Amino acid sequence: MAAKLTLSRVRRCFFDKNAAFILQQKRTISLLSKTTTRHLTPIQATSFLSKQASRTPFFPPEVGASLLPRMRSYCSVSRACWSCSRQTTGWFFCEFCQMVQPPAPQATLFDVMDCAKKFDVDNTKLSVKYKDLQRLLHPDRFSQHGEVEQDYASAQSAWVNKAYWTLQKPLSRGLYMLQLEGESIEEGEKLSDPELLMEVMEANERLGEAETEEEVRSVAEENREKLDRLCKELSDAFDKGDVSRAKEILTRMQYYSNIEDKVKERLPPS
Amino acid sequence: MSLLRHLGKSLRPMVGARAAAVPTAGYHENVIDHYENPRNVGSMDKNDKKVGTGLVGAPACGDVMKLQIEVDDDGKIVDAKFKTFGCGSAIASSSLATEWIKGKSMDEAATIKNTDIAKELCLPPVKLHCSMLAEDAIRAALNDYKLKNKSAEESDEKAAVQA
Repeated sequence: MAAKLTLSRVRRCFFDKNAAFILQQKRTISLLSKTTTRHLTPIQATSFLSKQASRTPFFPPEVGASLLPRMRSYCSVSRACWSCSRQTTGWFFCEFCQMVQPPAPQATLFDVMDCAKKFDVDNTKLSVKYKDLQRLLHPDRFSQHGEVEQDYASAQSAWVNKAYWTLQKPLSRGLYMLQLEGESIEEGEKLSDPELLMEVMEANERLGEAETEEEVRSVAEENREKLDRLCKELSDAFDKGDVSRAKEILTRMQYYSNIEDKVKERLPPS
Repeated sequence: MSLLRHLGKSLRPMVGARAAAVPTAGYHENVIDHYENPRNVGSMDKNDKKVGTGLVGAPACGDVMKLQIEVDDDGKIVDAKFKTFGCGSAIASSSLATEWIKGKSMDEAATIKNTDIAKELCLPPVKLHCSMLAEDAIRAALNDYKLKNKSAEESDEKAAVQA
């Protein structure tokens, strides 16, 4: 280590360790190169390396580490890695050989996005997680890898997509949670709540007759308030494990969400 | 590069032509016809004794359908109106339903089945629930009319007894 370590050498060192590191490397290195000179002293480089290593032996702190240990707190998976045959607990990567794993059938979409199975989710956290995962699983990163790994990576990536889009919106998230409870709103089901139907009909009519943007906005606001209230009620129902109440609320939400979609079509994108 | 640009330009009309050749992805022409020229759209006074109102919804898709009938003294449906907020199939189903029940007696109207509507509109299996919604709307409107006039009759009878 007598020779000066260049950034590229440090980088290569990480490359060898783990493909998932690349991303974090770019971030850290670019941070480093902003603050220090392009050449690192051996001490700097070693301390940098050991800092990284002590935080997580296999995955970068922000991205990879969050995949493994925290995942286990919500749901555990243990299966043989297809590549090295060791028992792995990673949803996406084997912690021993770092190969991409096929999607675990027992995982829920909440597990995929590493969040608790609750109706209230942190949307910001969700989208950060989504971007991180998609970066890790991006097909470009596996173009030089074997066909099996490429397939698994794209299957995982599709799964992450599904998880993100399902969990992001209250209605689809609620419907998914209902499905996890073994319930669903079926095609042929009837709704005989005259009050709700009347209300929905009137809101639709008002929207249809609205000519100015102001009028549309007033429908939108009223509708938004109702949806917000329903979201709170739904969260409460799921917390209490009241599935039939949750289903009832979701039915109402379906109607108001439809109105919201129509409102969005009428308003200029904000 | 310029070759590529030209290729893009020369291909564009072909793309357009292909898109124009299949403008009605998935819907049968009967559905399109009712969707584009819906019959009997509108509302009646729901407090009118001669009017029966059926308001139904499909929870799975969030569609709402309102179907109203005006019945004369002989029990014949003289007019029908509908308002539907939903997909093309739901709109077409209710439009067709109003067309069919107009001029029929209430008993005849009650025999209209969702399968008849679905058949006429050539609805695919996934859209059968739309025709079911229309059938339900007819039923609901008939019931509403009967209920209204029954209670009216009863109160008339009560008044007669009291007198």
